[in-house]
Amino acid sequence: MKITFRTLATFSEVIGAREMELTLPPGEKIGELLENLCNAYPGLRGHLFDAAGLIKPYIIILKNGRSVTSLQQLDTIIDEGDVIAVFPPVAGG
Amino acid sequence: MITDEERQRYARQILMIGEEGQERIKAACVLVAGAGGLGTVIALYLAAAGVGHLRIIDCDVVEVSNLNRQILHWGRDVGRRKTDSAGEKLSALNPLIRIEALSCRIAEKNAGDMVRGCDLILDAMDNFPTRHLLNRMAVDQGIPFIHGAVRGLFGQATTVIPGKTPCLRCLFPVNPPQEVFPIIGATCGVIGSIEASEAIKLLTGQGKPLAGRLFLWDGLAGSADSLAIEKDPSCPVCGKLI
Repeated sequence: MKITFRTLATFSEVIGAREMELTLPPGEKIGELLENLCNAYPGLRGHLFDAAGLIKPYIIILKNGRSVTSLQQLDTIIDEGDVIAVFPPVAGG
Repeated sequence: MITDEERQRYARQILMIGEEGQERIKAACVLVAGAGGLGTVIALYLAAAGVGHLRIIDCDVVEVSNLNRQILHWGRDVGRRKTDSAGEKLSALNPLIRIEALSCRIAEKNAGDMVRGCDLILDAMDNFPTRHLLNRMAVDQGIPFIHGAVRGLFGQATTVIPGKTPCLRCLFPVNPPQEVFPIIGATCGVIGSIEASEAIKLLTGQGKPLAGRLFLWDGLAGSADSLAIEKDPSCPVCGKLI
């Protein structure tokens, strides 16, 4: 299945793109996608996960514009055509 | 009614928004929460546009390290309260409007009073706990809340319309750690200007606000776009309004 992956700021610098179309196996979960991305772009791991290997809770992960915190978090299943956005917090003013 | 003096001062924007739009701006009370990088840009443009009552809140004094981006504070202002520094320049820019500059920290005990009576709340904070407090007050009192945030060459903005759009808590449920964030003034200029534009649009009813969309600015690439965003039906702040 095809999905759109969007990112920003330091994450897009590591990946080298702000938007990518990805082909994933049906039923892939958000956590699996992030793990695969970290394997493909090793510099990403330190941005997404802490030393214990847990996702940093303030990383913004949206499935079709909705925070996965209110879905099944990293177990949220990705569907065909989804737009998955992952970006770091921007908090300054 | 606007006066002849106002008709002259605002002539170029009256071409866009009409005298009726100018009257709406004049009648408005807008809260700018923060007089830092974003707040000084927002307040400058809203004062220039003739917002009738501008309430600006900040608890800090001007520091030398603020001067790369906080454009209402100048070298001579170091050590002054930001609200004094900003209020003085805004009054000089536009003596026809009311500037209410409050030097205090926005906290649970006073936030409700601070937002009460405002038509809009503009987020110019540098931390998420206070943003979330303002977001909650905005939702509770049904006041549109215009969010903006910056870091480095990146920025974001969205407009929360209580009961209609996702609120800040839907999007950003977990506060990021506090940091001394890297920033250049121009990024504050971009996002502060977006927030001020949103305010003018909402007050005059023109255009399409960033309601249900997160504006994303990538200054490194020189690129801007927006992302559709959705409510969290179980949001502890706005879920009850669904």
